[in-house]
Amino acid sequence: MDWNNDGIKDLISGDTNGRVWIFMNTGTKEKPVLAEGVQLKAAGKIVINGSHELAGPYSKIHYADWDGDGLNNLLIGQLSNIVFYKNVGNKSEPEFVDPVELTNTGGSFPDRSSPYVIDWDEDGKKDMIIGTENGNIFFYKNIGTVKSPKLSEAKEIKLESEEFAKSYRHRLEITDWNNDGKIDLLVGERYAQEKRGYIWLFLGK
Amino acid sequence: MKFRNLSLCFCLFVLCAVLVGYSGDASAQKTFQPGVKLMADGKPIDVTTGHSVPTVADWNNDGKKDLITGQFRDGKIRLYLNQGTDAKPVFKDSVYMKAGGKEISLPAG
Repeated sequence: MDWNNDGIKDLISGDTNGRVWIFMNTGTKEKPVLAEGVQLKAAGKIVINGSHELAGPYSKIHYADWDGDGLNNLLIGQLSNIVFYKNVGNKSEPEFVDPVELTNTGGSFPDRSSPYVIDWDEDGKKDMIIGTENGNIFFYKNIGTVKSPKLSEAKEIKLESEEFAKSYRHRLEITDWNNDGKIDLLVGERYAQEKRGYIWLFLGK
Repeated sequence: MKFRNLSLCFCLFVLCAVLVGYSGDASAQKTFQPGVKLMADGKPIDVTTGHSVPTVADWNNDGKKDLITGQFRDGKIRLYLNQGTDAKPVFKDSVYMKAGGKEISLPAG
């Protein structure tokens, strides 16, 4: 993730209190060196549970251009919703305003959603895929436009594997893992009985 | 005869509409092979006290994707550098990522 568009990768992370940490890379492409974390501000205030009307705990961050204006926005899965922080800065200096809550035609999103933006159905518009607390993975089709996305109700993405079925608190990464041109899913998890946290790979058929 | 042609046209139209509708839906219905655990050094990657949060990036710019994941214990972030190829990633050990010279440790939950 390149926060400030300088060509070298930075790191961002949420935390349990709802903060957004930015670790700027002060090294090189080959040898990244991260500076001490800086807490993100939006509308002049540090983002943390309660700092803004909609800011909640347990932030899971996704940095992507959701509203088609060429700037990456922050989509944050929280305890009971997904909020959208619009980037009103520029590519090298992102700046964010008060968040708004995202909705879908079925209502709100599941608890502790892990949002991921991708054109899943390849119709030229970005859709949303989310991992959830309960372990379901959902596809929300963008039935709006590129610049004004509107999400349909959830459609479950069926994933199988015996042990996987017991896991929950799913966190998603979507990538072409094996470079075969098909989308693959990586799913992080929690399984309290064994205090485990495997990473599952589901290769696209 | 004319009527029959018209009804044939109509049937073809319906068939096309169904096919177009079907292919549109098919692209939304991606399917996946059964899940496998990502491995490192021959064992499943299992972050300390759970809560794995994977992300993929070519961290060291060597043309191969690497794996970064959060974990619950001490809110640390693990980096697995890819020892294989970009199309066939292989992981051995991980390091905890540092920032400002210290291991990153965030409030976890």
